Amino acid sequence: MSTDSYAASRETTEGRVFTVTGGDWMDVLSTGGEDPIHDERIVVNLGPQHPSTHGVLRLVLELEGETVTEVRAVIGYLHTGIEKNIEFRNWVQGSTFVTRMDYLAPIFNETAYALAVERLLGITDQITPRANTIRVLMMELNRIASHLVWLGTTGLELGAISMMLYGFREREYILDIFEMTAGLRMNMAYVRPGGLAQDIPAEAITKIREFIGYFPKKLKEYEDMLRRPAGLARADQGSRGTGRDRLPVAGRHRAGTALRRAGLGPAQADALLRVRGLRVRRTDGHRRGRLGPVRGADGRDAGVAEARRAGARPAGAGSRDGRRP
Amino acid sequence: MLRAPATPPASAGWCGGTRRWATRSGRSGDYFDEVYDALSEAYPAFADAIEHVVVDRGELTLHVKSERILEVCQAMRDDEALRFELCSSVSGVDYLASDPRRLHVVYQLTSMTYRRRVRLETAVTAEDPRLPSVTSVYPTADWQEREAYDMFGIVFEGHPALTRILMPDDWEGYPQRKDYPLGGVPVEYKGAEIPPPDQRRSYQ
Repeated sequence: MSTDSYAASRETTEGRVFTVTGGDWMDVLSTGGEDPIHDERIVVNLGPQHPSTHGVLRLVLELEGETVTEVRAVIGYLHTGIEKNIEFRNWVQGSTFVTRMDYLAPIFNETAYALAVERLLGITDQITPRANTIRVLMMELNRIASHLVWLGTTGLELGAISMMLYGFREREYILDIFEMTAGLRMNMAYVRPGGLAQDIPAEAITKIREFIGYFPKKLKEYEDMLRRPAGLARADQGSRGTGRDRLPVAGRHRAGTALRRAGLGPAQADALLRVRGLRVRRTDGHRRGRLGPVRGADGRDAGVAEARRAGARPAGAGSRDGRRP
Repeated sequence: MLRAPATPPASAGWCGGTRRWATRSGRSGDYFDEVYDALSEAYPAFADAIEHVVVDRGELTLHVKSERILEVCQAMRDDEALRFELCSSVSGVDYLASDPRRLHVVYQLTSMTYRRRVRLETAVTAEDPRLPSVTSVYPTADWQEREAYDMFGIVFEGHPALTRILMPDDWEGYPQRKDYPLGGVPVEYKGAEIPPPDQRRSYQ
C-alpha cells in the first residue's frame, strides 16, 4: 500500500484501487502505483491581482503538493517615493504626503512627522497643550477606526460577513467625526508641524461624546457574536492543537492563555482580545471635557467654554469611578 | 538613573525572555554615559571603532567605522550591561556635497531590558559603498538592508540575498540618492500648465 497521500492505493475485494491527484492515471498504473509527479516542485505566482492580496502584494510560492516550501515576497507595489517627493517640497507640504502613507492610520503618520519636524526645529515646547490633546484624541479615534477595519475585513475573510458590516458601520461614525473636524474622512493632513490645521469644532466634541456612549454597546455585540460557535470558531478548526499560537505579546499572551483555557481557539481568542483593546475608558479629565486653552488673543479658556456648550457635566458628577463597564 | 543591578539576573537573556527595570526619572539622557562606558568595556577595539559621539535633542548617536559595524552590533546585543536586543530600523542617508563619505547608514537600536535607545551611524563613499551586513546579529535588518541597497546602492556584504526590494529588479540607478532626479512631466489643467515638482518655485 502506497504511503503517498497524493497517489494512494488500497487493496479491496475487487482488487487494488488507486486515488490519483495531479497526474495521468495511466502513468500511475504503469509505474506500479507511484505518482510520477509526486515530488515535482511547482512555482505559483500569487498576486498582485489576487483578491486576497488586496492588490498590493505578490508572493512567488514554491509548492510541493499542497505544502509551500519556499516563498518570495514582492512588496514594492505600494511604493510611491514619498521621501523623494518631500526632498523637493517644504516641511508643511510634507503632511500631505505622509497622511497617505497608511490610509488606515493617517493621523499617526501626520503626528509622527509633525513631532519630528518640531523637534528638528526646536519648537516642541511651543506646541499648545490643546493642540497636543486634540492630536491624542484624533489618534485614539483613528486607532479604533483602524482596528475596526481589521476586525471587519478579517471577519469577512473568515466568512463572518456581519462582522464586516458592523465594523464598517462604526468606523463610519468615526470618519464622520474626522470630517467634522478636518473636513475630510481620510488623508486629512490635519496634524501639521506647529499644531493643527484648524481647531476642533464644538459639534465634533458632542459627536465624540455620543460615540463614547454608543460604542461600548457595540463592542458587547462584537464580543457576543465572536464568542458564538459559528463565529470565528471555524477559523480555528485545524489550527487547534497543532502548536500554532499567537505572538507572545506580554499581556495579551497571558490573557490569551486564559481565553484558550476557556475553550476558545487562537483566532477567536485573539479577536476577543483585540475587541477588549478598543474599550473606551473615561477619565476625570475627559468627563470635564477639558482640552486645555486655545492660546488666543483674548486668553480665554475656550476648551472649558466649549465643553459647557456641548453639555458636559461639571467634574464629580456622573458615575463615581468614571469608567464604563 | 536606572535601578539596574551590576549584573542582570540570568533570566534577562536576549532570547530567553526579557525583564525590564523601571527608570526612576523619566528624563532621557541619563543613561548615555552608562552605555558609552559599557560599550568601551565590552568591546576591545572601542577606541578604533568609534569615530565620535553626538548627543543632540536628547538622543545619543555613536558614529562607527563602517568596517566595524558588525562587531559593534554584536557587542551591543550580547553584553549584559548593554543588551540592545532590537534593531528597529536600518536606513540610508545621502549627505551629497556635505560629507566626502556621503552615504550614511543609520541603525536604531532599542534595549527592551533597560528601556534605552541608541542610534549607530556609519559612513561610506559612493565609490566604494561597502560595509558588513548585520543580519547575522539582527535578523530584522534583512529587508531593511535590502531597502538601503535598493534606494542608495549601499552594498551590505554577507547579506543572505541582497536584491532590490521595492523597485523592479531591472531598475537602473538608486532613487533616493540626492543626485537622482525626481522626474515628472508638466501637467495642463484648465488651460494652465503646472511644471513638474522639481521645477516649481522654491520655498526658501
